[in-house]
Amino acid sequence: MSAVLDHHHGHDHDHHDAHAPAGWRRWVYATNHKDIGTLYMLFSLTMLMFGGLLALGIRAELFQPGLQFMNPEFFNQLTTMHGLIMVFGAIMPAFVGFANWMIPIQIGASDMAFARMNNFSFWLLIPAGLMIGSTFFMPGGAPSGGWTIYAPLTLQMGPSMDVAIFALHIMGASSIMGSINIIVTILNMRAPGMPMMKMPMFCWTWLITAFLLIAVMPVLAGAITMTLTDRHFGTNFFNPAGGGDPVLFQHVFWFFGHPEVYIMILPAFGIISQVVPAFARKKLFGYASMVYATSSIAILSFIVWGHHMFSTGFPVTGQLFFMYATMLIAVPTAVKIFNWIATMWRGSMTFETPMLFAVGFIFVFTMGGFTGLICAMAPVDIQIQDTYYVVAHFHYVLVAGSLYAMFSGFYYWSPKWTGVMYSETRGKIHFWWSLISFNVTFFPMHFLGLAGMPRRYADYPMQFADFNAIASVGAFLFGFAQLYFIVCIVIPVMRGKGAPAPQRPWEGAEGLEWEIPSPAPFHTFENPPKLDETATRVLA
Amino acid sequence: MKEERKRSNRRIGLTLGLVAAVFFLGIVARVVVLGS
Repeated sequence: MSAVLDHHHGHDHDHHDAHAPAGWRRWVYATNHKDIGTLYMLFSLTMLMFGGLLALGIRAELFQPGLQFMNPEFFNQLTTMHGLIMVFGAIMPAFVGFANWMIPIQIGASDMAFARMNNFSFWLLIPAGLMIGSTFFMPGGAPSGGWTIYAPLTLQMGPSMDVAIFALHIMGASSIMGSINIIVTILNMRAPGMPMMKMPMFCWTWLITAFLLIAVMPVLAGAITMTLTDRHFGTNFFNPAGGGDPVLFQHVFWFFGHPEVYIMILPAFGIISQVVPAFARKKLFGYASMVYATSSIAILSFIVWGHHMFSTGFPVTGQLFFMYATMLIAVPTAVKIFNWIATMWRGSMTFETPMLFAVGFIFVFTMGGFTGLICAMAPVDIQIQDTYYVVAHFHYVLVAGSLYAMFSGFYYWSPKWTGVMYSETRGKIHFWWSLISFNVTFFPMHFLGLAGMPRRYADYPMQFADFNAIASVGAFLFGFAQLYFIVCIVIPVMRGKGAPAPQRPWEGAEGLEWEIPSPAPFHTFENPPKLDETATRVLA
Repeated sequence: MKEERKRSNRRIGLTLGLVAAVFFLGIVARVVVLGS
């Protein structure tokens, strides 16, 4: 982030930064895609730490049976806010940060299509984040009905629910504006000689994700608006006491919620599709099939929402439809997994930190994918619905999936952002520490879930004590691993500490981001570059 | 050329914004009119 933080290392490209504004105005009035990308990532990192603290509160309480530190009401607030903050505050903004930094550079554009709207999209997140954090201090405490904000729980809560709904509206508006920006940038701002089918996979996955966001964020906005009118304006959409239907809320919520799952994983697929070929020193195997597989996953994500609701009394035909549709998603996902493996096959692989996280992602995410298939089977899901098996499943795909891909992307692109190389030894320590502690935390949850331990309870019977103790120890170790990442890796590179990064620090890396100096100059590709036939190199 | 691209950007952006608005109104209308 040196292009952003004004560290000059005496590189000959310093003159590029001459037009960078200085002081607080640079950030408040930021229209530069790199600055806004940095802001997004710092916001996301802050929310990741906040959400992580809430998770450690949950695991501290669950270390032993009985109530140790908090009452069950506060425990429920922690689980709810952990989910909301991680989904809307940490994962989504982090990927938008990656998109802001990398997409214009990767397609040879000078900036995002709507630079001022980009600024607005980011700065909307700050009041939303503050509002959602402040709910802990409101009468009745923070929302506690689960991140799925199910009716009628949401209809019974205090004023914090209204504030959370407002915050979600704002975050939704920010996401929609961000998506419009990304779609227009990719469709309209590509350099000459960069056809769609030669775009880097990260751009493709984000293009598809942005379409998903535009389709489903308004649905969430509609659902929470109706919740708001149920709470204050006398309607009864979801209120059974007035003839409304709470299951209708679940249908509308999951019509948003399942594509949301792919919104959180498709950009991760994009990052992995960039990193694996770079460290296998081979072209990505099956580029076109990757594009079609990503599109298929996105389309299928609209017809599987019912698998979250098998136990609501679905007719058998409905259960069968959603069961088979869900299983169908395994096909394009497997295409991607096999393509990554085929890319590595007989490649000249080296295992620097980005590649370690990418391989870790493929291995652990696939485990999460398989437990997803198990959850997709209606007869099994009715047994494990709302148990720790489901908690284990979605943390395997969201932590070892989305978060690992972000780590991989950070290590891969941070030399370009900051102009310095991170410490490889520290990166490897971070990887192994995270991988082991992640599995110590979440693997035992499969057993807890199969044995019948339900989610969202502050207490449990003695029979679950051992696995919970192990999971809590793992969670604290995982938390400390991320503290190590921030203190020993992120902060040093942001302060410019480390060996100067060459223009192309990775031998096998391809793409336009490696055609510009490190750190990336404040302005790049102000005149459209002339590209070679592979659209990965600048000719003039 | 630059102006032409700007106009084109705005056209696509506004269309996508309109799509989002229609989806929002569509889901509310669906629930209001058809209920569960």
